[in-house]
Amino acid sequence: MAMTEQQNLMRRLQVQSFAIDDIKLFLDTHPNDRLAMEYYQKYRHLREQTMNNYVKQFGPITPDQVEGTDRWTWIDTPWPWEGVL
Amino acid sequence: MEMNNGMPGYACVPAVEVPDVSAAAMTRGETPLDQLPLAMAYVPMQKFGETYDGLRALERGTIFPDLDLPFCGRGVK
Amino acid sequence: MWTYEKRLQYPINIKKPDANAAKIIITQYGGPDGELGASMRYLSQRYSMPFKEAAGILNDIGTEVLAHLEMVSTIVHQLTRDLTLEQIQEQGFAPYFVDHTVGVYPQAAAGFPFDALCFASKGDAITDLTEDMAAEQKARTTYDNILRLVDNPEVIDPIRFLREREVVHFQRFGEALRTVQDKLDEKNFYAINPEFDMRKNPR
Repeated sequence: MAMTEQQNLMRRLQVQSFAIDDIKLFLDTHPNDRLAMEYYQKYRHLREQTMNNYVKQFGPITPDQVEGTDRWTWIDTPWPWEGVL
Repeated sequence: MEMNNGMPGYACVPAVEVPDVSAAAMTRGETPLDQLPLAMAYVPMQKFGETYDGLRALERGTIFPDLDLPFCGRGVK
Repeated sequence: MWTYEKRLQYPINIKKPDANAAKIIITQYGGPDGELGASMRYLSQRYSMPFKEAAGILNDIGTEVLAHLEMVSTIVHQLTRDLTLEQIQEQGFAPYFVDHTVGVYPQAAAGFPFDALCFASKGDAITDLTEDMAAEQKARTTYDNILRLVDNPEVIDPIRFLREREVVHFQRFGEALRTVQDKLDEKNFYAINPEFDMRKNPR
């Protein structure tokens, strides 16, 4: 079954976030490693773009990303344990 | 201040300062295992090498092929 | 302090209920070698760790593992939310059901509830990091055993991911221990405990 645009973008966010999760631990024990730092910066920028894209189209990922004053959409989007995304 | 009463072996000297941390101190990773001090555990320091591309890294659970060590025991589907 | 992102670290979407699988997988939530114990262990040990690299690893692995207990709980939730009463009784889920219905509660596969006795925070840099290396191996072995027992690819997938994270964490704790060794006297690593004998402002 093909992924929706939302699932697609969420997957990209998970991929880029995970790259940071893993390189972050490497950098904790190798704080002067230049190659690792370059890898980190590359994914940091990619993730920022993906995050902005996702939030603009599909709603907040963190509670400080809710726009406007009509409704607290933080509680409206699916919770991660539901298995929708 | 000598604290081992003249016995052979390590002489205890109180340490009062946090030692300076320099990058040189981290290079002990090149020492062969049989030259390292006894009674201690040592894991080799990983060197930054190949990385998986994004999606594959997520699927495998690490960006590093060097650390990709799956389980293949009995009962695994 | 912690921020929360409304996503899982790794996607989980399990369509078929299975109480047998849930009963064993729950052990990686509330069991002796599970993610809740791991997280509390590392986050508790970080306060008295005086060395930056080790403190960073304790903080960051402790934090990542919170996302893992979320994943394990999600797996248990998705395996149990659509169980019928017949399935609950046939699959031996009644003892859990009577106390927790299909809620998620941290306990081991053998049934005993989560207990802080499953981890130590000893306040010694070498001791704590060595404990952490053992903890990651125990967690890995538990995931190995779960992989032997489950059939559903939708369950196997996230479990494999969680297991691989334990391998990586073991490597990082080992490296953190190396960085601590580099700051101690190699003629006798055990002469002092750097967490107590090297404090910046001793009274």
